Formats: sequence, C-alpha cells, structure tokens
Amino acid sequence: MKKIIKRTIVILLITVMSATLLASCRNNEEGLFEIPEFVFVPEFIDLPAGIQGIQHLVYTNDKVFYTTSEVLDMDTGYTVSNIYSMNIDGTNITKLTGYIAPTPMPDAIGSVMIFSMSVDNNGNIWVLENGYFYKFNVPDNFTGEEWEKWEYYEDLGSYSGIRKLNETGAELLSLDIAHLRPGSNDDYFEVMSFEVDGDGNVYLSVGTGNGNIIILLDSNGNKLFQLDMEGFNWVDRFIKMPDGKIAYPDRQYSEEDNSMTIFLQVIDVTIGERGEVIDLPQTAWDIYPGGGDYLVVFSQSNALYGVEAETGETSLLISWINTDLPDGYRENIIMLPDGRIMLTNQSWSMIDYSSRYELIILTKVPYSELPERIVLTLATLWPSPELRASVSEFNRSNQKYRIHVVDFGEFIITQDDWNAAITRLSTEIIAGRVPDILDLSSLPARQYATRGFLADLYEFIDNDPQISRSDLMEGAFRAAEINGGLYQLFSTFTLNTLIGHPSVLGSNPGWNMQEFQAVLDANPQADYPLGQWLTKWSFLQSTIMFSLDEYVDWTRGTTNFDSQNFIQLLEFANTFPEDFDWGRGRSIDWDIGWPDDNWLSEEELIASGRQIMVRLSWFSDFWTYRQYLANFGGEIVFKGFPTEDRNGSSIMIPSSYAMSADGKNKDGVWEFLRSMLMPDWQRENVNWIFPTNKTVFNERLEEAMKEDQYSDSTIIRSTLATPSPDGDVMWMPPEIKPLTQADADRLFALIDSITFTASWNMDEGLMDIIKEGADDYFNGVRSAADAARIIQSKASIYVSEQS
Amino acid sequence: MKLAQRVDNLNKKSRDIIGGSLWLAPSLLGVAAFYIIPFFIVMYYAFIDNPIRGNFVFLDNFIALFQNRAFIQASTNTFTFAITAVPLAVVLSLLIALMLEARIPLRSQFRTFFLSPLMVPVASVVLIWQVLFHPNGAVNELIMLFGATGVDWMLSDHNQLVVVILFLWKNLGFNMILFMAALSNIPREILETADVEGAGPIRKLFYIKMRYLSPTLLFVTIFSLINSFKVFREVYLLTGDYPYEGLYMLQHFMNNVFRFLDYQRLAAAAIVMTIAMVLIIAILFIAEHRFGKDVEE
Repeated sequence: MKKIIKRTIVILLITVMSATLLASCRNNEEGLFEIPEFVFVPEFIDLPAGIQGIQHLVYTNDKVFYTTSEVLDMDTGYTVSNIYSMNIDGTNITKLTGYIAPTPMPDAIGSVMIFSMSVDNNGNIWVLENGYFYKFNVPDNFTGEEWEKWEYYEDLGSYSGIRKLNETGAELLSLDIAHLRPGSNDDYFEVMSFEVDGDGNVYLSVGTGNGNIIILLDSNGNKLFQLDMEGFNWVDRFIKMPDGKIAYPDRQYSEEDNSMTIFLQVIDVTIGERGEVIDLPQTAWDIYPGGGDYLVVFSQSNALYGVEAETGETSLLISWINTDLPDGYRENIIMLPDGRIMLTNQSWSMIDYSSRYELIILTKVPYSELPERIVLTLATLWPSPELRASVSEFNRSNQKYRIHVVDFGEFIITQDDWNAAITRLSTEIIAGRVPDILDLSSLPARQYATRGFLADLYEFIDNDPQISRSDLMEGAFRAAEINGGLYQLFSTFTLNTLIGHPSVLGSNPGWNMQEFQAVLDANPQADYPLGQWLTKWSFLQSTIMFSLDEYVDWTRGTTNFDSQNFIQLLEFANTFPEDFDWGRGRSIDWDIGWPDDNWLSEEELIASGRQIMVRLSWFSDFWTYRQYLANFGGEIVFKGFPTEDRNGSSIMIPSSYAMSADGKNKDGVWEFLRSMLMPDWQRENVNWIFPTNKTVFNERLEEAMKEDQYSDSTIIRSTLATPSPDGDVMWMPPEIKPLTQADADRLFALIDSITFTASWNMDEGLMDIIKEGADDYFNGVRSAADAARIIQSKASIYVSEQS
Repeated sequence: MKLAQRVDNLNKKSRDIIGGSLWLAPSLLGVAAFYIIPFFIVMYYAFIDNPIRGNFVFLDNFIALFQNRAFIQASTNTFTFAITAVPLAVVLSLLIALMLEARIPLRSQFRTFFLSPLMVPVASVVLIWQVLFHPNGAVNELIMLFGATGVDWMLSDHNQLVVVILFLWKNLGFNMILFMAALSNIPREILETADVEGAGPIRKLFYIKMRYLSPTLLFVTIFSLINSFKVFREVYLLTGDYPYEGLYMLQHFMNNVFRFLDYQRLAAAAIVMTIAMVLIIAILFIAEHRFGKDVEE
C-alpha cells in the first residue's frame, strides 16, 4: 500500500514537473495580425433635416432621448434646445413638443439651453438648464451703428435650473436651486454638471467663488449633503454605475514622482460621504457609464476601452478605425442592454470646414458574416487623423480588400506602459508575424529597411499608371531614400533649416562652422543671434538632429564627432545658458504674472538686429514663409545648419507608411498607399503642412502668391534698418506680402538640395551618448576636444553595431 | 530455464532502462528546452537572412560579422583582456599560494586578506572603483603626489588597466585557495626525496610541484578565462552600454545587438565565440595531458 502511494506521488510529481515545461507553449493571445472573431458594424441613423448637433444622448426603457440646438435668430444668436426621442432600433424619431425652455427674463436677450440631461428609473427626463442674459440700455434717440449698441451693454446675470420632464417633454417638477447659492446673487455660482441616480436623488457639480463642491438633493430638491472638492478639481461628468450609484472621475497629482493617478470616486448616499475608489488607467479621460461586463468605458481617439467589472482590468472593446466610421470626434457613448453601442460622431471637412453629426449604432457581428474580402493588416501606434480617414474611406469603397488595423497603442493603455507597444510590435516582427502595412511614425524606418523587412516602393511608383516620380515632390522623396530605395511613403513633409537676411548671413545657401562663427563675430549687437529660449542642450540637440548626416554615415558605419566642425559646434553651444532665465536677470512674481517688458517678440528682435537668424524646425507652410520674408525685409536665404559639406537643411516626415517585403497582397497594399499620393486625397486631408503631391503643392504655392487680406500696405511698418533708439516707438509688425516667383524658386531649390531626413525619434542611444559627453564639457569637467573624442569613441561603436 | 532466466534478465534490464528514462525525462526535457533546442535555433538564425523570409544565406552573416568594426573591436578587446588578465591571475595566485605554503608570518591574515574580496557585492566594488579612479579620485591624488599628471582612467586608453586590477583583486583569492589545496595534495615523500637528492626549490617547483599542479593549473586557467568574460558585469556597471572603446567587450556587442533585434548577427557572434572557446579549451586540455601525463600515470 505504501509502495502504491509512493508511486502515485512520484507520478504526480513527474507530471507536474513536465507540465511546467509546456508553460511557454500556451497561446494566450491569438497572433495579433490574425482576423478577429467579431467586429462592430455601424448603422447610421437618419436624423431630421436641420439638426446642427447632438449634445446629449440618454437611454431608458427602450427609448433614446437626445438634445439638439437650433438657432432661431442669427442676429442675436438666440438659440433653443430641442429634445427628441427615438426607439432603440433608430426608428420613430419624434420631437418632444411638450418641451418649452424657461424664459426667466422675457425682456432680456439670451436663451436657456439644456446643459445636461439624465433619466431616472421611471423613464422621466431630468434636464439641467443654464442661460445667460443681457440687454442694451440704448437711449430712445440712438442712431448709431448696430455694433455701437455694445456701449450700452448690461449683463443681467445667469440662470440655472433643474427640471423633471415626462416623455413628452412637459414639465413635471422644477427644482429651485437658487437657494443653494452660498453668497449673494453677484457671487460666482455655476452648475457644471449633474446626474440623477436610480432613486431620483440629484447630484450637482457646482463652481462657487469659494471653490468647487458637490451638492446632493433628494428628488424634491431638499439638500441632503455637500462634498467639497480639493484644490481646483471639479466634476465635469458624473457616471452612473451599473448598481445605480453615482461616481465621478477624479485625478491626483503626485509631486514626488511627477505622476497623475486617475480614479472613480463613488458617492455613497447612505453615509453622506465619499465611498469606494476604483482605479483607472492614466489615459482614462473621456469616461462613460459601462454596461454588460464593463463597469465604465472610456474613449480615446483610437479606440474604446472598458474596465471589466469583475477584475478591474482594462481591455480593448472597439478599435474605432476598424469600424469603418468616418474619422471624427466620438462622444455620447451609450452601452445598450442588448450589447450594441450607440454614439454620436462629429466629423469635419478640411475643404469647407463644415461639420457633420451622425448618430450611429454599432452592432457586434461575426467577422465571417461580412462580405468576403482579402484582409490587409496594418500596424500602427496612435493612428493619425489622416490614416484613420484613409482607412475608413478605403474600407468603405474597396470591394476587393479590407484593412484591419492593429493599434499597438492598446498596450500602452491596457498595460499602462509606454514602452510596451514598441516592444510588442518588435517582438511580433522578429517572430515573423509582419503586417502588410506598417505605420512608421514611431518605428525605426532605417533599421527595418536595412534588415530587409520593407519593400522598395519605387518599384510600385514607377509601374503605376496614374502617378510617377515627377508628380511628386521628388526632392523630399530623394531625401527619404535609404541606399537608393524608397521604403516609406508619406503625404506630407516639413523642412528644417536656418534662415536670415542674405546681407547679413551671405547670399549662398549653406555654410560651415567657421563661416557661421565669422557672421556672429561680425554682428556683436546680436545678443540673441538665433532667438530666445535656447539653452546649451536645446541648441546642440536640435542642430545635431537636423544635420545628423554631417556626423553619422549609417551606410559605412562611421561617425565624425571628432571633427573640427563638431568641436566648434560644442563651443558655440556652450555660449548659451544652461537653463533659460525667464526673468532675464530679474525674479518674477508668478502670482502677478509675466512683466510686460519681459516679452520680446521675434519680429522686434529681428527688426532691431538683435536676432540675425531664425532656426526653423517645423517649416511646413507658405504662411510661415511669407511671415519670415516680411520679418527680414522681403528677402531671406536658406542657410541650413552649419556643416562641413555646407548642406545643413533637412526634411522631416511627420507620418509615413511602409509595405512589408514579404506580404502576399502587395497590390492591395499599393492600392491603399497610392491613394495618399493622389491630389484629391491631399486636398482633403493635408492642411497647414507641405503636401508631397506636386500639383497640390503648386496650387497652394499659387494661392500664396496672390494678394489677400493679410496684405495691407496702408499701415505704416517699421523696417529692418530703423531700430528705435529709446525703445518708445510704437512698433508695428511688417506687412505680409504674397510670395514672388523668386521666393518660389528659392524654396524649390532648397527642397531639391536636401539629402537628409531628420526625425524627432532620433536614436535615443546615440543622443544619450552625445548628451553625456557634451554635459561633461558644459560642466567644465573636460575640454571641447576631449568631450568630442569621447563622444566619437562611443558613438562610432554605436553606429558600427548597426551598420 | 536458462532462456527463462535470460528473458527475465532482459526484462529487468528493459525495466531499469525505461524506469531510469522516466526519472530522467523531466530533466532531459528541461535541458532540451533551455539548452539543446535553443542551440539549434541559434544555429538556424545564424544561417538565414531574417526571421521573416528565412532564406538560407550560408556564411553571409559570418562574413558581415567579420567586416563589422564593432565586432572586431569587441573581439580584440576581449582577447587582449583575456591574454593579459588570465595569465596574471594564474601566475599571481600561484605565487601567493606558494608564498603562503612557505609558512610565512601572519599567514592566515594574508589568506583572509586575499579571500575577503570574494564576499564583497559587485555593485559595491564598482562604486568604490568609480570613486578611486575618478579623474579627481584617490589614485590620481596619489599619482600627482609624485609629480605626475592625473589620468582620465575610464575614458582613455588606460581603462583596461583599471578593469584588470579589478579582475585580479576579485579573483586572486579563489584561485589561491585552489592552488593551496592542490599543493597540499602533493606527496610529501617525493619532496623529501628531492630534498635528499639535493634538488633546489626552483627545481622542485618546476619538476615536481608543477607536474602535480597541472590539472589544477588547467582548471584555474579555464575558470579564469570564463571569469574574464564575466567581467562584462563590472564593466557594464562602471560604464553603461557604450564604454570608451578599450572596454567594449564581446558581451557589450551581443547585448546591444540583441536590443536592436539583429538576431542574425547575434547568433553568428555567439557561434564564433563558442568555437573560439572550444578551441582554446581544447588546446589547454592537450597541453595539460602532455605535461601532466606522467603524473596521472
């Protein structure tokens, strides 16, 4: 018997030990790029004509209520709120004709609007109504212009009220909250948000002159208790919990580790105090009541996340980009009892700047029920608005392919770890699970390209029937080449360079450090030669970032940090302050504020000769070009940062996309990528930044060459040559003129000359090496030459490792 | 009967084998999972272009590796350090062991003095070394007392010297103990016979003691060689991911290449390093076998 027991124990132990070896074999998550089991499909609800916006959306008893605003008088801006009801399936949209906004001051100008709305368990609607009123005490014999009436303006104060309405909108009860005002009528008192719990208790978030408070009233308006908010915190939204209790999101900042914690604070009516605290991720800002398995949900630009009721863990609910919704701002999210999700979506047109509201119901359906299409996977980290718009449009219009987006930003949210996303994506790629399309915005494009992960897009451009290299801003694409190939496609770019007046800096584009220093020596009056706000490190960092190819040759794996150019750059950087002195030698009393005479505008500094060049690190539009031409008296030269090869300008690519070298559906990927190079797409989606389509670029350039509202030669302007001796002259900014052909040619010459693409995501390791060495010099521990020697030693190893 | 007995024996043998295998299975599975299989995976990675395509490229990764300046630098530094530190560690610890064997005064105090570095945590050692060899540290103060100029120890070509000193300080004690144990195992009669025959101490050392010490010499050399690779730990704590070029070791290269996800280069470097180690140790074994053969017999 003993023997049998012994043997049984031994067998059990062996099984357990062997089983642990299989632990790594578990597949706790499907491959990230595999097709999901379910997707959310949108259904757009037709709204009545004339709806200008949906402000509030609430649900009760299989009915949805929402408010809209309607401007009745364009002259006075008189606007009213309307309430609509609708069945949960989107049918039977009915305006509640029983709702009439109160008119507390019939003779005044102004209106009362619904500021917030809620429902109770009996199906009654509760509304918080705020209004502001004024009037013009215009004399009887007034004959002036309309705008002159404002001289007779009188503020009549504000109105706040809470009413209970029935399902036709008729008033059932009006709560007097005026008595809650702590001081006189002139004291600040504003109800910022409210909610009603299951028992009809009313929760108010109130701002007063003495701070922000929460007031609880019973269903008859009697005050139950009050909670004071700490510091400047206030409640902008109450959350109704699944158990009927009310909570509010709150934040606590810790000065020790400079971190912010976000949590849900439940209000316990039974004890008249704050109750349970539920932790939330740091990114949970736009919070809505939960439903089903979720305590609450919160929306980000990329996805909807839920906090699970049982575990408190955060998980991804919906990736917005995969719902084919038009890109926009999503709010008023309701988790319906049947598992569907209702929300509003506001989108904007970049062409005419009009906005559009949509009421949408998302239904969870098995992926297999969707029309069959070839799925292309796209990996991204926080997709940009352009990407979201492109994917949405592609999925709605393309019958053969569909893009499924995997947003690695989810790992930042769910794991509360900023590095988790890059690590996870890198791991997937190394494991051989490469998406068809990569959003390279936060990824090391050069490394992936040289490792053979990415396809050369020139092959596709050269074989495309509609677009060729000459249709694009070739200079920008040439600068982005890696070993002669194009591995990232981009629709926008910006320029980084140094500019100034040719009479001061020299008329030839480009210079080295000696020539740069010579210009500084010849202009001793320029105490802010490159502008204000620069410190030793900020200047050095940006100069290196924007002219890195001067010091690093990634192809050959060599560096050049021990060059005379770099040593001189270090020495020049050392002339800047360690930290900027905001008070310019004086101490500032921040309670009073910034002294007026502390502010020096860039235009004034340039006009007075105290600043002789500008470091343009995000030169992205023609308006900026016009502005600086005006500041420098109508003429500038693009000098770039000082480098040995005198070519110190660079481009920067805000967002770019790549194709997997090993993808099976390259044609489909190209169909998607090429759309971002098309003129129509760039006209719609590219604004306030240089487009890469040459046609669109030229159109915008032509606009900048026309006379417009900003050109006004009647105003007397100061010029570069007339600085004020005593500083009392009224100084006017210079006239903004249209661009000339010479200006256009100069810009094209700059773009065509650039050979380097800078990046804000520069190798952190390399930058750390440079900073460590530079700091030793700046702190007086070593000479500039010694610091350069050490940086060269370490940086050369760093670069050669990756070559 | 005989057949039945034979069958019975065979069955007993099979049972023993099967039973033994079952007992060994968990350990074997573990060794396979954590050592053998990864070894073959590394070999696979070393011969393909990238994990996505998986195309066989034969020796291209190795050729690229030997053309990589960082790898050459790391290999040179590692080799230089090993060539310098290991012989010093062996010879010095042997000398100390011989000295202590000679029953000098304060023998046990000296022994404690050499053994105590073994007990000090590495992080503490590194902190102290940083202070000692700082440009304004104690060592420079001492040097300047004699009229010389201070040296930027960690950021100049003298940085290997610092680490060699650190390595010796840390490892001499352990090697010394091993040699002392080996010395105490040398048969007294042979030494006494040598004394009688008129052999001097040098002759006794080289013709008798060294022969008997040869297995220990081999072990100490291999152990010191392995420790010379592990000095990366101290160097990393002293200087970070990217030290001044003299201290950039093979393991720095591997660490950094791993972070860049360049598994092909990493795998190739690991295989090259393994081959080098196998060769060195094989040479040492052959030398020991030849030198100490008669002792073993």
